[in-house]
Amino acid sequence: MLVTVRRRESDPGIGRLSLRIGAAVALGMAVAASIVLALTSLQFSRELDASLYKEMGKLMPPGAPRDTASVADRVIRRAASRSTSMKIALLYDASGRRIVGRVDLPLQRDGLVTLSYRDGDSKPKDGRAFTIRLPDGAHLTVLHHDEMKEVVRDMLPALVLCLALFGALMGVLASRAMARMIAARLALTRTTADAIAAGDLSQRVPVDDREGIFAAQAQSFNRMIARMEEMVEGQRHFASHLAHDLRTPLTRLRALLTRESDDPADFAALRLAAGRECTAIIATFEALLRLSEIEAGRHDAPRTVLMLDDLLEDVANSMEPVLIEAGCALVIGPFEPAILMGDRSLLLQLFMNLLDNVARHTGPGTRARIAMRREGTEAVVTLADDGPGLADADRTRVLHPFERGRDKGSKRGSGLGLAIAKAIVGFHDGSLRLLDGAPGMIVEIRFPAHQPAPVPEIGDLAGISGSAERSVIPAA
Amino acid sequence: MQLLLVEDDPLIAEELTGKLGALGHRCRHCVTGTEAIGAFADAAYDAIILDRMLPDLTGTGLLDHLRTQGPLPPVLMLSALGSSSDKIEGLNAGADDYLAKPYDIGELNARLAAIVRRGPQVHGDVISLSIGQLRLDGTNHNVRFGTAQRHLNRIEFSLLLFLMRHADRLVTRAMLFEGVWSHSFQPLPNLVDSNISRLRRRLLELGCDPIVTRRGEGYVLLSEQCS
Repeated sequence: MLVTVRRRESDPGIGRLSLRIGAAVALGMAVAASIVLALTSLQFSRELDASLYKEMGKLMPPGAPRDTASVADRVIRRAASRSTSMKIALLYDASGRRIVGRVDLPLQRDGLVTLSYRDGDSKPKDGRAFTIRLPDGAHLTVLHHDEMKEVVRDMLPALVLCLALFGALMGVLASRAMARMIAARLALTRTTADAIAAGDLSQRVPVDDREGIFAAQAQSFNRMIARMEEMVEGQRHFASHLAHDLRTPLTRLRALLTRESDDPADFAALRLAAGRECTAIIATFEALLRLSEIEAGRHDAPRTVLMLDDLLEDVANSMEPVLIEAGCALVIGPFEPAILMGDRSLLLQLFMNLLDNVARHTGPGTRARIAMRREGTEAVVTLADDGPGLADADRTRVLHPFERGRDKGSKRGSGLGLAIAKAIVGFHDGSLRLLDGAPGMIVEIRFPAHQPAPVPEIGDLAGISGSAERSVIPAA
Repeated sequence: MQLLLVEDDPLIAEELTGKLGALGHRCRHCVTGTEAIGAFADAAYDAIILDRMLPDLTGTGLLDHLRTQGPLPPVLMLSALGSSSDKIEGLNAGADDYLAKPYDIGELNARLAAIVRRGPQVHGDVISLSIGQLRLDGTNHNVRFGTAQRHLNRIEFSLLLFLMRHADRLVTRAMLFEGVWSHSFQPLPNLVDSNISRLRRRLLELGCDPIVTRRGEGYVLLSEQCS
């Protein structure tokens, strides 16, 4: 009982909507009835007119004398030949006085006229009259009782009322039935949504393909939930890894802070070590901030037109000494000309991170090459090295935040470098793949880009990376 | 230097006042924007160190207010907001430099020196720059020392240009990274050092070695070594 009551309270129903639909159907029915009756009446009066013309033709056959006396004679004879008729002929003399015919009707104007008349009894009748003028100034009128008009007038209010009431009833019933159907479908979605709101992201709305738009809506809803589940799972993964990643340097920091030493040299070393741990923690936060900034699409400069080949050359020139110091060698280019709409800082960070990975994680003696070619509308940047590479499973794994290659502890990075790289590539509508270099690894990045139009070389002062607006050195 | 420090966190303010004092600066500390407006009217300052978030005003709001009172000394903005767009916003609001918390006092001091000693702005097309016999040519990216000359790549050129513009002043790694590469992300650990080493080798080939490493601080290009 309680359940039923609760359900009623929580079920909003469709409220006054069914009454509105009923009213709309009733109005429609009433209008339809009026139109049908009006059309029927119009058709009937056309037939009436045709009958009037025919009767007039019989009273005034071609070639027959058209004087008043002859016409009166034909009228009387024709009236006598028929016991009852809806058609009544009336003859008026030149002064407009009725001389033949039983109906008391004053002379009408020539042609067709709609009128009301009395035929003996007191009740007025509706009719149509057709009047012609004879050569001697007399007038002949044929009058026809218009029954249909009376029928329509009598029936219209009752008919419209009946149809309106019936329409209203049907409208209300049909809309209620439909509302029940929709409510049943929505209840399924609502139950699922409530379960999801309560934290169970594994719930899905049942889908019946025969349900048309409802099935499409349910599928779309399910897709949204699947994506949300994926994102929440990613965040859980992210948060637990972050906690783990910060716990390690924080534990070491605490150990350093609790250690005691009277030797000033020893104390200075302790302080330096503690400082390093702090730097590592701050670096993790910086990387996190950067990652969220890029993923949210929030970044410093709007995209500008960049010469990707110049930018790559600058990155390679910047990173070459870093790689050489790490015992690696870097082959620079070739870079085909390519123009990219992008954020220069982000792209610098992307390629610097990737080259830094080679310096830090491949070991001395590694040879790397960074090059770029154009394929159709894409610029394809490849960074290949002949280092130890990564196993197939690791190549997918390391693109996720806090996942690292299998390095020794001393070379631990934030574990966010490749996640940031992937986010930067995504920001530029590109794609990043790690391929087996056999030996070593190939990082392949594809960006939508196009070929630059040939322009005359401009001598640019301090022109780093083809960004026309920005001088490398602030002018001060 | 006479400094105006506007910072609401007592621990940070105390540490900064002490360390800046030890470096030979006199520091007037204000906790709120209103207090800073009063202090600004009382005395003249060589520079303002300003926290981005204050209890009563935003750092940028305070700058707007101070600007109505008279010419503004160089401003270094400090902030816990370290994203690149926050930096851009701070610089656009009229700060001469922007430092995200946590910062190193040496870094802060070098940047203060850089903004305070900043001379008149360099206008127009700078075709070349010379100190003593060392001459940098912007049209062909060549460096010349005496009669010897060689070509520099864009990175080497930009590094040397930055150092020459800040001749005889300490330039930190972060300042170099921001000046030559980007202010939007943290520099890679060895990037600046490796590139400076290479630049020094290039200059040594010409018989010139003006760049001196200040251990733990940064680099200085000594003009006396260029003659």
